[in-house]
Amino acid sequence: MSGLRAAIETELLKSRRSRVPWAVAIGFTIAPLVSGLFMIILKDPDRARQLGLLGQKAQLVGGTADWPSFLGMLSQAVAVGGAVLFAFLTAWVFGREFADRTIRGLLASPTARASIVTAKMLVVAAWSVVIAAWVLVLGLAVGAAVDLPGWSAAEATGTLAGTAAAAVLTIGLQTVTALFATIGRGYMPALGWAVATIAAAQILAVLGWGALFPWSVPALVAGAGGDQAGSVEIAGLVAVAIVVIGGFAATVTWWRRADQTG
Amino acid sequence: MSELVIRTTGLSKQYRGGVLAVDRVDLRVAAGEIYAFLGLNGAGKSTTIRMLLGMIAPTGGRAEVLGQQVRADATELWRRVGHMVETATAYPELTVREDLDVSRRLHGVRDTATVDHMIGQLGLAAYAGRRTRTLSLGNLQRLAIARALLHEPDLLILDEPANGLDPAGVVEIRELLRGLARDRGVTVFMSSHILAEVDLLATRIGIVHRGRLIEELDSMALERHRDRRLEIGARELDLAERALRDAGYQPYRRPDTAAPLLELRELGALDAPDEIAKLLVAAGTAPTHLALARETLEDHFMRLTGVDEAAA
Repeated sequence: MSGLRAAIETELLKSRRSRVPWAVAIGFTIAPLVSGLFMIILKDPDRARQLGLLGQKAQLVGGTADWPSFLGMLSQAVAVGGAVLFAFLTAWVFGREFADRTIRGLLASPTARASIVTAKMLVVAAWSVVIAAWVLVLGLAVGAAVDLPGWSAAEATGTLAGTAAAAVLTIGLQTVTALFATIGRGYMPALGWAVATIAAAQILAVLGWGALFPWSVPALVAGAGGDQAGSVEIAGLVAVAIVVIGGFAATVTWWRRADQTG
Repeated sequence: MSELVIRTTGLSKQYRGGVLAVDRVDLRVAAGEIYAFLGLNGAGKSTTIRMLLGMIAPTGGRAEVLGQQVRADATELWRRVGHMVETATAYPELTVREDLDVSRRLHGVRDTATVDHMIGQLGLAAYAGRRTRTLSLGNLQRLAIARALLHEPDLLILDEPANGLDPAGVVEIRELLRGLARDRGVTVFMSSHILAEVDLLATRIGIVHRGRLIEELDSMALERHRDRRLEIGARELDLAERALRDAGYQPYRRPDTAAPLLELRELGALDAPDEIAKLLVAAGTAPTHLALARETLEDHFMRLTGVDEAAA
């Protein structure tokens, strides 16, 4: 693909200089910190009340302060939070070219449009992977700092692997978010799409179709989904793959073929 | 005509909803020309420019640039074309230098010194380290022009290049474009609303109105517009024309005015209109209108597009 390397370099420069990826990283950092806070409260509710972390009359129902609960909470935060924050990142990387009207500089250029779309996708994926990894590493540090009981290396590895797989699937599904940012020529249609898929994923999971709905699958892989947790079917993973590839192909096609009037 | 750099044949664009933005436009722009594309808002200038750059697909006809049919992904073609479409834009989070560096990389220019060279050439040295979001409209315009020139293109397609520039900036850009055309043989295809500027810069002008190319003026026609002339009206215009010819003048009958007029361009007539009046009185057809005039490009454009009539 003509100019892919140049396109990646320029996308990396733009994202590094922008506040948006950093804001997403900071937003995601809240997940392990809040999970850690819950663990502190669950571990010693009386002390939490004394410290003002818990209201005098408040009662926490369910949950135990241990590593499995903490990692489970972290895993769900990555699966659900990732769907929002990775979509936000994707909406910005693609939608900003239309909102800022900088798209014109990318067209009629020796760098092929397919290279530009690919570079944007790769940069979104790279940022998302780094942010997800940072959250997991920070989570382990927070868990250790809180001194949670019940550590099992095998169980932790399994949970973290599931979380990482969920993050990868969520990142892949952003190809459709990119398509909406492209067709909608801005951030809002993409964000609207992200919100719609999160809502649909919840509803379909409740109705028992989550294992086959691509946007529900990452949460199931991460261990969320109540009774359906872990009930991932091959058909669901195939559906995710079809959506990822279809979203990418449609985005490239739109960049190459649609009239660019922005 | 030397090698054609832009050639369109029946180029048309009809948007969904039926709006015919560009209607069978035939353009021929030769190497080294500075061709100005004039038109009112919505006349079809930007749509034509976007079709020339492969940003919009025509619904009819064809466009060739530098001998190649225009396609969106004609990456080798775009290596030879610099462009600025409509308002100048930049990445707000990047500095001027970084923004130009993005363009340098995307255009495959290896020499990093090119960026600083363009910054100097476009008078942006004082702003090189500043984020583009802090730039004035004029400096943003300079940055956009620098981006268009960075890879030393053979063809420049510029939409309103003087937009937002102060008077000194307008002169600088005019001299820059003129120099590129003269010294490097760069072809410039530009649209503009600033008719006085076009008049000073362009070697050829195309006037587009309601999607159609309604007139082209070459350098000779442009020169004629710049010339002074003596306008003569008379009740018996044929008689007046004959009398003037007999006296050795070469009257030109204007077909495009509401009331028929004759024009004289001879210096003798321009310097002594009273003598012309005496001559016509002696011939038995006293002048009803005698005026020294110089039609500007703006006058011509307004008359051709009917804007003055609509305003009246």
